[in-house]
Amino acid sequence: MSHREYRRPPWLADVILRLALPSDAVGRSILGDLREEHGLASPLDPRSRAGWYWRQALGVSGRYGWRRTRSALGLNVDVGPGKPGPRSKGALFMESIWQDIRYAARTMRKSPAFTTIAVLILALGIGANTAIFSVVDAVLLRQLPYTDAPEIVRISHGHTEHGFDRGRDFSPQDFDDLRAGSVTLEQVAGYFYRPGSATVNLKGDGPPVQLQAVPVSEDFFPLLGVQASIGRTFAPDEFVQGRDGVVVLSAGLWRRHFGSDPGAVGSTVTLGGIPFTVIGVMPSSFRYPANDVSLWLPMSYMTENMIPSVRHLRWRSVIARLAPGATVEAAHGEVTAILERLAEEYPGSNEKMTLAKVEPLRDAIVGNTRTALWVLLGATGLVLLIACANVGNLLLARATSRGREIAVRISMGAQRGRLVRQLMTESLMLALVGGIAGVILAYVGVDVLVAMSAGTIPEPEQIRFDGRLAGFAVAVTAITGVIFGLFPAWQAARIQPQVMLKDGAASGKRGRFGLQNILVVAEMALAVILVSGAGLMIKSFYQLVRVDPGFEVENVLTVGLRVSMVDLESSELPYRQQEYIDAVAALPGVIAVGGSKTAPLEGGGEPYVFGYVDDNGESRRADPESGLYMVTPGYFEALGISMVRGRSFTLDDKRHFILNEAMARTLWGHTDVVGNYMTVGSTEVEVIGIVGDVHNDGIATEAKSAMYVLPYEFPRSAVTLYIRTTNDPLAASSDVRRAVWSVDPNQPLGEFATLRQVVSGDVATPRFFTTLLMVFAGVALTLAGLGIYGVVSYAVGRRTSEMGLRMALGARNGNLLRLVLGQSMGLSLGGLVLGVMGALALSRFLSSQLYGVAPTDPATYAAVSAVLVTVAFVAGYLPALRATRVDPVQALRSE
Amino acid sequence: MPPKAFLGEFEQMVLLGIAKLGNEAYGPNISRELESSAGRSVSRGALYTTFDRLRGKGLLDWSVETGGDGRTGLPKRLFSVTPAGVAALRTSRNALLNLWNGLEDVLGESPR
Repeated sequence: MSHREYRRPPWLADVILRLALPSDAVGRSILGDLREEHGLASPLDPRSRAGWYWRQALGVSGRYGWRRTRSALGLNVDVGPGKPGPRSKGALFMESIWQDIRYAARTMRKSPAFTTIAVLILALGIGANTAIFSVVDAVLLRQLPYTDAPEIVRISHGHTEHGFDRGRDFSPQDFDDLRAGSVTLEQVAGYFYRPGSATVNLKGDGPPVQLQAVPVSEDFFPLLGVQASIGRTFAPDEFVQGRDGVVVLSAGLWRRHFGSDPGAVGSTVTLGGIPFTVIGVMPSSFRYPANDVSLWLPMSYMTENMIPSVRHLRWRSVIARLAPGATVEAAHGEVTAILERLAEEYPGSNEKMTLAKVEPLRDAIVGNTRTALWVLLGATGLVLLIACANVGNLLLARATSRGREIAVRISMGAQRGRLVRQLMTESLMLALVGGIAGVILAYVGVDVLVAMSAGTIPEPEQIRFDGRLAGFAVAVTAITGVIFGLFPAWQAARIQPQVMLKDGAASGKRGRFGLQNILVVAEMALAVILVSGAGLMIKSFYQLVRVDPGFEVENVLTVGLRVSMVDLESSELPYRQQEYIDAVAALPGVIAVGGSKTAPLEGGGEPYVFGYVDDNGESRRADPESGLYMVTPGYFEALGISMVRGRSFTLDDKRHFILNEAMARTLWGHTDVVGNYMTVGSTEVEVIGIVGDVHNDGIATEAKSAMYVLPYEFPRSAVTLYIRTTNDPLAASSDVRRAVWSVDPNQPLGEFATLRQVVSGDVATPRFFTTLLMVFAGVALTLAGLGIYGVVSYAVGRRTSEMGLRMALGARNGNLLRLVLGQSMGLSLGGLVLGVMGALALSRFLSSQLYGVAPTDPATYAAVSAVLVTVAFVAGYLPALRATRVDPVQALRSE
Repeated sequence: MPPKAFLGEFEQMVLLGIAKLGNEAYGPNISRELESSAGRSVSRGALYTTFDRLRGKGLLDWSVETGGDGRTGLPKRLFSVTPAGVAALRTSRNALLNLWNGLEDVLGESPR
């Protein structure tokens, strides 16, 4: 039997022991004893042996840890020879605090049910706040990980009438003029990023893959002040067209495709059939401009057949660094002046394109999420206030039963100040335990939050639990403890022992009752505010998903495809694309296949200026709000877009346009325009059909005027395929892949998604915020309901003898029900009125998040009121029912 | 002069256990001795703080020795009862015996 062999005890228990025990020979010998015994305990099975070790370790650490803490605080230690000497005033003060803490701990242990409920309520409130704050901190408060980030601005270029709806970007020519003409901007950089469309095909060993690439201008990396983690970023001479290609990888791509091999730098990758040398890998924290970016290329990679470099095509996103001393306002003035000058010089392309926007980069990244996040933080703040009111009320109710204890202590000479301090200590201890539970809740909650957000939270990897967050949690916990602790402390300070001891605890003062009522009304009012907000968001979301996007969402598969241009003339592109489409269309179960340069709901119509002849025979020029979409035959059929007039495209439709209704109405005032002619530059095109309007720029954006053309005149290498199927569209994806590869086995495909998924992703942000607000409102409603229930049943309990008397005197059940319900309804109506007033005042903060519903929507407020009244009724009815079951004899006897 | 206070029950048990074990009186042995003679489990936390307290009262002492098997090189303490400890035990015993005296019938036992 070799039970002397050393078995390792549970490591965590060991760590705790080491922390608690003194580090001298005594501590080390105790540790040795426990280890030896652990090793000796062979008859026990390993698990119960570990259990034994844990129990002993906790027992020993508890006692020694306690003692070390106390001696560290300067309190007397009850060990050691001799009597404790005279103690200083400070030590006495510490000792009394220590007494308070011990007393509080004992009180908490004595009523575990009360403690558990209070801690749970607080954990919910503090946890929700900490979780949301961690997001707010990461997204809104912490500095961006770039050198002197506050000096970096995003510059947008818009139309004086259409604003920035059509995009914010610059043409390469305007970009050059801006850079040359500005003194308030020290550095100006451009890049091209379109989700899904600016992709390159990586050909490695495996199947070809499609990657999100971002072509950037020379100043891009220097401006942001970010270095490559391996290798380097681009050198100025690498931005010359025709030079050998170089590429910088993202950390993610480097890990996925190169197994984090440092040797990847210097190797060659084939992008779209062209060899590129990898010159660097960026750190994993660098993902500008978006999380899905896999690589960065010099801007010179963008060739004419990708996007023609002409002044009226604006596709370069622009960031800049302010010159020392320059302000955002000064930069805005200067950019506006430059744009006005360009509009005069180039009216053909730049007329009215004089709207400038200069905003700090963070604002540009965060966008509309800012308001939503503050609204959410406000909502969790309200939840926390309700939690405070609730716990305050619980403490008040309990304080009544402790009234006698406190009265006795006062009459025995306890100082009121000391009593108040002790009660505050109890509250703070409760808050502390609640805070710890809350932080744990938040830690788990943040992951759920990020998963739920479906990309709504920009840069979720910035969220972390650090000192700032700990500071926030501690502050919230302390404030919470003080807020709800004030109620019982204030009350204790006012107790009059002679009254309390004479009447007994059963009949307290009315004043306290008033305080409880006030708290319940406040809870109710806060809940109304939250539920109203959630109600508005729900209604808005409902409006949003009910919007008819203009196409049929079900049974459509979408996938992006970029045709390699290596051995193709750009005029051949449409034919190559059509080969793929024909191959897919031949699959069984496929009804229709169409393609478009852009992904659905992401806009991307190219703006052109058109000439046309109006009904009076006058030549006019049109600068339509939306733009030109390059589609393939079959597009309208695959998406189920309705044909209003004329006919759809066939393969031979060169120089033929199809307009949507909005476009026809804008130009001619009616849709009877099939056969009319328009001009683009010097090319004359004929309108052959009118289709229904489509929400091209997103569900929440109104359908805009649009023109469709086959790609012959405007070949673009990127195309998104729409495949209408008879059955589950995703099931068809492997067939589609095979069909594409049957044409060219090296042709990569993007990710497959159903059109339903795309549409649903388009409303991910409102869905996320609506869901969160609903959760918070639900918590608020539950807490408020519990608050009413608590106060009313407490009142019923105290009035038992009165109820008994009334019954004995002939009161019927109905009378008693009315009596009790009257109280709860009174409270809730008070809260409702205050809450609706508060909600109306606050609702304007929500208005930017609402779609198709006014922030003061009467129907929503009516529905919210109905819900709240119902909850209040139920919360009051249960104790009322109990009142009617009072046995008069029993009730009167106990008096 | 007898000590001012009597020994507590657990304190007596610990001192007796140490006295009984003689040169073998270190942690695990004392625990085992107490558990087998008293027939109940002993919390190590209570045991080690009792050692400290008894030493504070001058009733026991310890010497530190190098550790043996299964201690991963950690030292061990050998305990011994001091003369004051022996005196305290004696006082307790006498006091108890005096109290026991004459209760044989009630308790149904003869004094040992």
